[in-house]
Amino acid sequence: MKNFNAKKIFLVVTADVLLFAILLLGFAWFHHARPKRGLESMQSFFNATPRPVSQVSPTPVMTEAPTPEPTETASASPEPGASETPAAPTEPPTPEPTTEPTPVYMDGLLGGKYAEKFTDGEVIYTDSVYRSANVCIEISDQEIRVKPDPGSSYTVPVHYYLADIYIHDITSLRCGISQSSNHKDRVEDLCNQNNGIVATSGDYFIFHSSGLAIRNGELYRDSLHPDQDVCVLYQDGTMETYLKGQVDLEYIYSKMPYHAWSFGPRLLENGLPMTQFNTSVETWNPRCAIGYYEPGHYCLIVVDGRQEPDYSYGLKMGDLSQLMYDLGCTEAYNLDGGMTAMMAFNGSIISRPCGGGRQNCDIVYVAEPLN
Amino acid sequence: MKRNELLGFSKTGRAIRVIVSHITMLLAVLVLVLFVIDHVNDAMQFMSSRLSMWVIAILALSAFESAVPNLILHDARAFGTVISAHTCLLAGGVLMLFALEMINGAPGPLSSRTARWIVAVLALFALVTAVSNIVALWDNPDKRRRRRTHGGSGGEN
Repeated sequence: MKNFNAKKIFLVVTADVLLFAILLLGFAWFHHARPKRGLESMQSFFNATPRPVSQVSPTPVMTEAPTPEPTETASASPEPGASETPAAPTEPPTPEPTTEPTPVYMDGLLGGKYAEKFTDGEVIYTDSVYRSANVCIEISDQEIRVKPDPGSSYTVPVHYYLADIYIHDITSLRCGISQSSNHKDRVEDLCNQNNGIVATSGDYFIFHSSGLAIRNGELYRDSLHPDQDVCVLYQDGTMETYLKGQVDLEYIYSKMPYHAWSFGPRLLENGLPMTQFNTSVETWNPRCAIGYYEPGHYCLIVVDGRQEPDYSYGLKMGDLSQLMYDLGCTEAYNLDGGMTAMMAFNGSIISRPCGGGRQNCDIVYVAEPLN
Repeated sequence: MKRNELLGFSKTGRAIRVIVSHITMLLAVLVLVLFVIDHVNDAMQFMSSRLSMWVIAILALSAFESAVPNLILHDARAFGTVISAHTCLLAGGVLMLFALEMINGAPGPLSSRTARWIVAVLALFALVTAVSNIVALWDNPDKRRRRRTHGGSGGEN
């Protein structure tokens, strides 16, 4: 009898374990491995109307703005029917404002500042710098030493890659979404597919079921996640971060957002480093973050990690916040890190992601402006 | 006596209780695993996605189904009764939060951090209820009676 019972118990326990494994794998598949449906754009905040490249524009293109003051450029844009035709770099159709052929967006987001960062039209592309008339990217590779705890007597190495970005037009800072069947690609592949110059991982929004998602002026999801801070880059070049529970969608939509990321946490509060974050991943980790200095001046940062003891430990969230502050950012926001934290430049990965990195569904990248 | 009362269901009813208890146990362990993962990395949204909401709602329903008979039958074992009562209360609460979430149509009360802890406690209570039910229902009283009648070795009780 006891033998029979033991057999029965063994069978039942085995069946339970098997069922649990199936349940767990099924859940993981439907929850995390399969992309969420409804990826099509729900609403557009951005009308990428082609402009003649030589047209000097005092503000970035903003059409259909709900604010009472429509921009001058909206009226100056070509007919809607002509919007499909790409702008020809030679022979601009509207000769009116053309005085000099370059720089293209001299009075764009930066308002004429940092003119020395841009060229007259030639493209300089080296291992650490990209300069053109519209975009300037300076890559630096830094090693810092961080105390594991405030009271520690020793420090550990941390390696990070910084892309200092200057752009005249907001469309230079874009997001790329994987078009492959499983919505996963490597960062460098996505960067190359989109003619990007520099790229980092995004916020993995396709595989999340909630969280505001706006990409390149297109609204993909407008449900807020109750525990996530939100970062919005507006078409006027400003970037704002919002703590969870303080996100006002109406306000965001009225300011014409170009991107909205839902990952977080927010890293700076009123330009100062923070100590409390809306995240459970505060400990040492590879990190990816976007920083904002002023309209047209941003940075992307990738911190290598999980490669102790000699190369890089990664950063705690508090240390990342401090780093963004030290870099001079006034707003900063954490993006998808861990194995996904990678930076691609000049067609290949330049950071050293742990485990060689992994595929991702979206990237933040910088390229020549759309128009 | 109380145990016989507890087991005094029809054959089908007993089988259903056994199956529901197993489902509750599996879902409770799953939710606890998700809770732990979520605690380590909440960016993966293992406790706040729509799919998780449905898993949690099914757990609450099955936990309710597992616990209510224990209360109706007035199981004399105080520990079991207390656990079952708490399971019922928590399951009811979670189902209410789930209903609110569904009405909102957006991540709401069940996605909050406090609700996640409530769900984890529910999963723990549901697990204990389910396991105790499985153990209590393990021995079929009919077979035991038959064994006694026919001079068998009898059950362990």
